[in-house]
Amino acid sequence: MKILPTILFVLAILPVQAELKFETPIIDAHVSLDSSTFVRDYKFTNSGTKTIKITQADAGCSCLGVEVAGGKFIYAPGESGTIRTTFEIGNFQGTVEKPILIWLEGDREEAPSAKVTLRFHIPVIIALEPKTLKWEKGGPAEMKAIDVKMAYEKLIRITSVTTSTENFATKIVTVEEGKHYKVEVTPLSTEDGGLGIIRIETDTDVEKQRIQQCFGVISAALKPLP
Amino acid sequence: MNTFTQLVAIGMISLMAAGGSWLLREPLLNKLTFTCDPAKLRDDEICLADVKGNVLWVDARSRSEWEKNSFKGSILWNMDPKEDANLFEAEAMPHILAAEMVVIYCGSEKCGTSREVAGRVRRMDLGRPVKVLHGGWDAIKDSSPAS
Repeated sequence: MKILPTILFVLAILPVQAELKFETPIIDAHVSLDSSTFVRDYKFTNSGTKTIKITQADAGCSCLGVEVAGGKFIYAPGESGTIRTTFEIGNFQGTVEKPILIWLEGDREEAPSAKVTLRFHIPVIIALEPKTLKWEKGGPAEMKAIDVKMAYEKLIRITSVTTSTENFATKIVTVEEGKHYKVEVTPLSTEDGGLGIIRIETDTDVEKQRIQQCFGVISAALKPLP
Repeated sequence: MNTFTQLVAIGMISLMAAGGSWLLREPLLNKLTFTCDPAKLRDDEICLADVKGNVLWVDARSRSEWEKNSFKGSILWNMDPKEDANLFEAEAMPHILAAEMVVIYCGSEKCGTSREVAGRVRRMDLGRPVKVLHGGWDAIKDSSPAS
């Protein structure tokens, strides 16, 4: 008769599992430039041994809406559902990664049951390098250049360069028409410290990236801090 | 020992084990909620207790949250599509130059916006250390500098 307590003991210590299993826990997506939003679905199955209730799904960002498709929150073992994410592209550029956390009933706030990841790539069609030009206060007022490279199906031309201060003179140099430029910036004086915003306007039809900006800084305090 | 006694003994042992587990887990989790362990930080993170000196606080939450309650002296810089990204950058520049360190926080530990903003500040290449506050606003909401 010792077999009975052994079975009961094993049953007692077996955890009742509640588990969300996602078909694709990491979604890697490329976003087109003309999109303002994009939607991706995460399909899941309750692979545990008890019915679950989804109480919260959150990406921690106002830019990314998360909802359980159909407003269905309770899933029996083996039942499947979908979590839908809607991303507002807004000011994002380049590669962005957002974790999405899912809480089931009974989860502590700091310990959600599941996590999926949305990774997306938004094309950067105009790249500036460097973002900040630096001169030392009282140092030589030499010309420095910003490298402007375009990566787009259409040619993109620089239409104007303006600065927020008269202390910077600028000149556009074409390296390859519509593809590659240099913006040369020369301070008239470095005697006084100062900061200037350099705005580079282009003719691209991608409005969000049409105006680029970089900075010119004349300062004695720009050396890296210890 | 008969079967019944064995069952009772097993049941008691199971209950004791479960109770012990619960008692150990409960205070540990409560402690974790408000504790920042420097050993467990990601490379770009900092604990609130370690933020010292002339620091520029950057609030990466929504404008409404920032206006309602934010760190004293903080500036707003988020990824909201309704905001002007170039303006954030331009307005932040003199503040960054005047600071020794930039610390960015968003709503909570699970919020990733502060890391996005930190990337943008680093790309400005101004030689200032740029850190993300571990725990975000959750870590500082009870501290006195909030206004």
